[in-house]
Amino acid sequence: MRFFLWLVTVLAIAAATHVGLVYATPRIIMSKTMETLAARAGGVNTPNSTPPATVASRAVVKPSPDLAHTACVYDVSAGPVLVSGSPSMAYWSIGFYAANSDNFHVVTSADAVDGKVRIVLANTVNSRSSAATTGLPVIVSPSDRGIVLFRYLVLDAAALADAKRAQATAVCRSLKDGP
Amino acid sequence: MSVLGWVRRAVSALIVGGAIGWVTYEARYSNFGLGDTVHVIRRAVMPDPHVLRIGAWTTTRAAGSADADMFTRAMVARTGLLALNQTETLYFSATHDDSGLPLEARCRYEVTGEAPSAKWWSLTVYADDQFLVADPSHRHSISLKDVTGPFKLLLGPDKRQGLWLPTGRAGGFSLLLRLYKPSSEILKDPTNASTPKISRIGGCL
Repeated sequence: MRFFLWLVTVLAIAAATHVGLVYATPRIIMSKTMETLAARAGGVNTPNSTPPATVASRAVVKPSPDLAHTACVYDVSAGPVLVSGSPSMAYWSIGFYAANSDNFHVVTSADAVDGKVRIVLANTVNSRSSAATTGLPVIVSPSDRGIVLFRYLVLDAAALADAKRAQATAVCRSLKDGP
Repeated sequence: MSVLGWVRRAVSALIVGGAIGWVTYEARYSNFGLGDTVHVIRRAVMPDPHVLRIGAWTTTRAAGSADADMFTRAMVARTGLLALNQTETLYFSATHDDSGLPLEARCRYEVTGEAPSAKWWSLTVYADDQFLVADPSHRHSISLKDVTGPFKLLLGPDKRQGLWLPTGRAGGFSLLLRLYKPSSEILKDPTNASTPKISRIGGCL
C-alpha cells in the first residue's frame, strides 16, 4: 500500500514536471531572446537592423540566410508603441510575437498606404488611450512585452541595397511622450 | 512509519518524479544525442497529433499560431522560434531521408523535386545545433532565385558541381523548407505541397 501511494505520487510529480517544462519552454526562450535583442538594440522599443544571417548569427535558432531583419523588443506597459516602415521591393513583412511566442499579427507590403505601413501597438489597457487614438490602425498585443520582426528578402546585391534602404525607415518607439 | 520515513519517501518521490518528467520532456523534443533509436521510440510512444508527415518531411499548421497548444509552442520555440503563422508561411522540416535514416553530415544526398508553389520559397541546411553550417563556400540555401522548375540538389561534406549545399563533416543536420505565401491548394492542405525526395547516394566520409 505504501509503495502504491509512493508510485502514484511519483507519477503525479512526473506529469506535473513534464507539463510545467512544456508550458515554460516558449516563455523562457522568448524571455532570453528578448533580453539578447534588447541589449543589442540598446533598449526596448528600439529597432536593430541586421544583414542576412551568417554562421555567426546565433541569437535565434534556424536563422534565414536569405532575409535581412529589423528586430525590436516592444514594451507597451507604459504606453502604446508606434511600428512603421516602408516595404522593400522583394518579399517584406512585419511579424508581431507575444511573450509566449505566438505570432499574433502579420503585415505585408499589401497593407502599405502611400508606400508605408504605420501601426500602433497597445495592450488592452492603453489601446483606447489618447496616445493610441492617432487615427492609425491599433493592434492589441496579448502581452505587455514581445518582439516585432521585420523581414526583407535579399536575393542579390541590388536587393541588399534596397533592404538597407527599407531598414533605415523602420520605426519602433513608444508613444507615451506623444506621437 | 516515523516522520523521518515519510520525509524520505516524499523526497525520493520528488526526485524520481521530477527526473521522469524531465526525461520524458527531453525525449519529446530532442534525441539526447542517441540517434535513431530514441527518435523511433519517441514517434511511436509520443506522437504529436498536430504534426503532418509528407515523406521525410514534417510540418505543423499550428506553428506560430495563437491556436497552437502548449506542446506545439514548446516544439516551435526549441526548433524554430519566431516562426510566422501559416497564413504567411508554411515550414517543412526534415531530419531523416526517405528511407527513414537520420541525415548525417558526413554522407552524401540527392534532393529531387519541383519548385514549390509559393510566392517565394527557400530550402536551407542547418547543423545539429539548429544554426547555419560553417563552410568556406558560405552556401546555406537554395531558393526561387536558383530554381523555378524541377531540380536536383546535392548535399554533402565535399564540394560538388552544380546545385550543391554543404552539410559539415560531423554530427547530423536538418533541412528546412520555407514557403512564403503558399498557394491556396497548399494552404488548404499542406500535403498538396510537392516536398522533395531525399535519397542517400554514394558512401560516407
